[in-house]
Amino acid sequence: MTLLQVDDLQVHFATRGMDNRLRVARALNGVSFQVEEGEVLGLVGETGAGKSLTALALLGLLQPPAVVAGGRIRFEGRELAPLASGARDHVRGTRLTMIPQSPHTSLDPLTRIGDQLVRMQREHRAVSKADAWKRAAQMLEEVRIPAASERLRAWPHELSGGMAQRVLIAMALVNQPRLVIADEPTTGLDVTVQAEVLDTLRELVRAHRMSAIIITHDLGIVAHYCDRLAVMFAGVIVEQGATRAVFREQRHPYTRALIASTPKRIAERGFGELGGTPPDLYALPEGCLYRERCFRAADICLQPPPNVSFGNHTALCHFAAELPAP
Amino acid sequence: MSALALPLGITRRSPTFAVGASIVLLLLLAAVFADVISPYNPTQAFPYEVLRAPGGKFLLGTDGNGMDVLSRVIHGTRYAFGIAVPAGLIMVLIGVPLGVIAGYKGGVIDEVLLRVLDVLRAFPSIILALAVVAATGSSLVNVVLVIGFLDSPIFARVVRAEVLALRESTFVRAAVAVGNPPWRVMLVHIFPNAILGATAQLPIRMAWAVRISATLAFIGVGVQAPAPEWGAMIRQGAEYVISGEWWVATFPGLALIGLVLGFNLLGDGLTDLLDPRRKATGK
Amino acid sequence: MAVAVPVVLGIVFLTFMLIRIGHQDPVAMLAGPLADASTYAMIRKELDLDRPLLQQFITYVAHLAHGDLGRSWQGGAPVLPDIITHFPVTLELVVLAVGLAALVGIPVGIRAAMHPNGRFDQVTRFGALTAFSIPTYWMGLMAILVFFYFLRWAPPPMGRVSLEVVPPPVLTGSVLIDSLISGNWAAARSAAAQLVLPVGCFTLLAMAPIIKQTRAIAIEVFGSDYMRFARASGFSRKTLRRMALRNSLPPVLTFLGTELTSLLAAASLIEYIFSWGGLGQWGLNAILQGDFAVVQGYVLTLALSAVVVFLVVDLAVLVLEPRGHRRS
Repeated sequence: MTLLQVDDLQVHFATRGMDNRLRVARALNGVSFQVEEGEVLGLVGETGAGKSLTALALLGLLQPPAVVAGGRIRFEGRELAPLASGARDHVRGTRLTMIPQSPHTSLDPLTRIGDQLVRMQREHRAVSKADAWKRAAQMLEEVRIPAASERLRAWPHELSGGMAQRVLIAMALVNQPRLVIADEPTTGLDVTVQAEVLDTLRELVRAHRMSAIIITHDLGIVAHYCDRLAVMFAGVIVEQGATRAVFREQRHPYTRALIASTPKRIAERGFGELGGTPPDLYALPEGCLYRERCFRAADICLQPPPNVSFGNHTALCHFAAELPAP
Repeated sequence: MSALALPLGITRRSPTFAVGASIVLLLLLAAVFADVISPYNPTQAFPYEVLRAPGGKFLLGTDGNGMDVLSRVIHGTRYAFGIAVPAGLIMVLIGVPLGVIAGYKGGVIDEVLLRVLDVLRAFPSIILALAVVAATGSSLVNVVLVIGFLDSPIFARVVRAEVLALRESTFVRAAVAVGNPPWRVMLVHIFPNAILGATAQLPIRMAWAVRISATLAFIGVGVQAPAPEWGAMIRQGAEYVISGEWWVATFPGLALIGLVLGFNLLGDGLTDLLDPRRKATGK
Repeated sequence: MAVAVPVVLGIVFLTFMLIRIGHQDPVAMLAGPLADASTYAMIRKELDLDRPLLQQFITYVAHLAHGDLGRSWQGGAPVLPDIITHFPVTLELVVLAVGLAALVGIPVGIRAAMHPNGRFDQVTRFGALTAFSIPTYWMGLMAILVFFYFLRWAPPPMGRVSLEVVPPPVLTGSVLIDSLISGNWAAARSAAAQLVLPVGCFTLLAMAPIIKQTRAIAIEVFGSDYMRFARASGFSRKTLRRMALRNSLPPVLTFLGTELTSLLAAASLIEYIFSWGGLGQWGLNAILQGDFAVVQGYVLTLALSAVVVFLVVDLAVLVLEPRGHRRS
């Protein structure tokens, strides 16, 4: 069953300038993707492409001036948007959870780790403090934190970055969600610690047969940990498919440029060009949003590009059918 | 863009600012045109019209000396602005350079500033102002000087905080890296930006200046009757409250509240206006 | 903490110098207009004013160590016992007012921060700003006018207890508490009635900065990463509010400490209006009359109270926050 189905999600920011005119930033312009049961999807893109915003939209955490301007989100077969806030609160935290970016600042500084894990459980389920405490210790063990029962009494600032990140994973997983969204789960961590944390995450996801979305700008992480990937640019998904397939042949010029800029490829073929600046969300170009940076752009790109499918591999480009020169 | 668009845009963005600015502007006009709009001379005593209730010839009544309350209240704006503006100037002239140097260079100046701030924190500034003015004599000049000097460290603190943040910003780091001498960095790069952030604090400090000067006058230090200063008027009116001649103390109080509120709204509104814009342009 | 002692000394030193440099000549006041040169000299010698300033200061500090704060020049009463009598009076007023103001103001500030620029927030902010702009003494006067003169609800503002009632023995210094302890119900009722207006005015004025600051702190708390994560984890409104309260408390308490010190000064104005007979009124008069010893005693008391308050606040914050926790 498709666990999560996102169709044509649009998010706008509407503000008024000093001259009293309305300015609209189109941050998400029709994002469509899905996540199946038991798979890990990587959401990649440069800064400002809209990755974190998508996560916020999924969780229903958008606040004015950001507003959902269109599209649907179906989770476990149910539409999320029409849900009353109480029901939505319940979905968040039990079925659909998030692992946030900065581990240290995301933990309540004045509450012990154990109490936070307990709180996470008791907010959503009727469970005794003793049982919740036991489960908290269990979770800490699962995320491979040594001396779990002592650690429960620790304060957040006593933890290292890696450990704090693991605690966050524990908190996101303690209520056994179906889908976990990890937003840049390795920011601020050493490279070795990164690998350990991600390994732990993958183990747990597989063990509990969950699905996950890993938001990152690091293609290396995607290559190692994600079954499928979706590439985002200027608020649209320009390409998605099985990781191996996409790495083997890219159907969208942006993806092509991205992959070409990984260190390995650069070592093989020298520097390509990723070129250009992020598009101005207040004044998006007509037709294809990538048009102004694309090496393949032609007149036809003034028309909105079609979403071309090759089995499970799709790309949003007029020239998707062309294969690149090796 | 028409001439009206900017004021309208500002009003929409921050109604607080608009209201505050209007009040202050109104009272400023009253101060400038006091002689024109006052029905009587503020210090002219009418011995047969002592303590008349509001109405008739004297719209707001007369006080214990037979002077018209309305004219005195209107002229009081001159004292209020006459203290707030120069005091504000002193605050800025001392506080800003102090804050910039303390924040940027740190060192001795910073330490001294922090100690002074500590003392001020522990000690109610009203008492200090009171003590100094009592010791040095109650004159308008003294009051202005004391208030100006007393508030400069607080102003300096705000500026200092701005400067500390700016010091770490990329463009300042770049300026230093390129080889600008410290004095130039402070003057050209830090100063203009710090000023912007601290501007919102100025109206609030001026509100404080108006308050303190009125309080001093009320206690009996600072400007005294028969000068039409609001605090002094309230002091005089205090005697009559128990016997029910309420107008002598009430109206100057209302004017005082109006101006202080106006300045505070102005300052708050300014913070609103400047803050999100700063975030948009980035540091 | 080590900072405290030099700060206190600094304050006392400052006041010491300040008041001696000023215009007021106590000798002239004490001697009267008809005194001749030798009387002047005699008085000067008695008051130690003929010795160099620094020496005077050292003598003063030495006396301090023995608990001798000098004598008032108005009537010669020793300063220290006066302080002890007057202090609880002011304390009663300030503690009641600040306590009430915090009890009401802190939850209001947090609620306002939950929906910034929403209806509740705007109304509260405007109200707080207005209350902040009203001078203490004026509000006191208006309160007397409305509630005493026009409505006849409140008793006449003549001190802490009506003259028609037998006052209780002085135990704590607070008439209310003393009456309750000694079972003097009439006095207790009278004391409570007398307290209403001054405490009411004072509370309203104290609430304004408390609301403003709590709101600012709470807004920062609500915007923090951990609150965002809490929201993302589906915590209920109630839990979120509780988290916000708990995390806002340390900085709010610290702020209350500083507020307390400035409120001690505002108290003197309220005391003056309501003839309360507390420390503030006493000190105020002394400053106006140039009564050196009393002024120094007053200032010293204020400074020491500030130090104590900061200590207490620091302790409270220490209890609330885990050790080693660094606030950004």
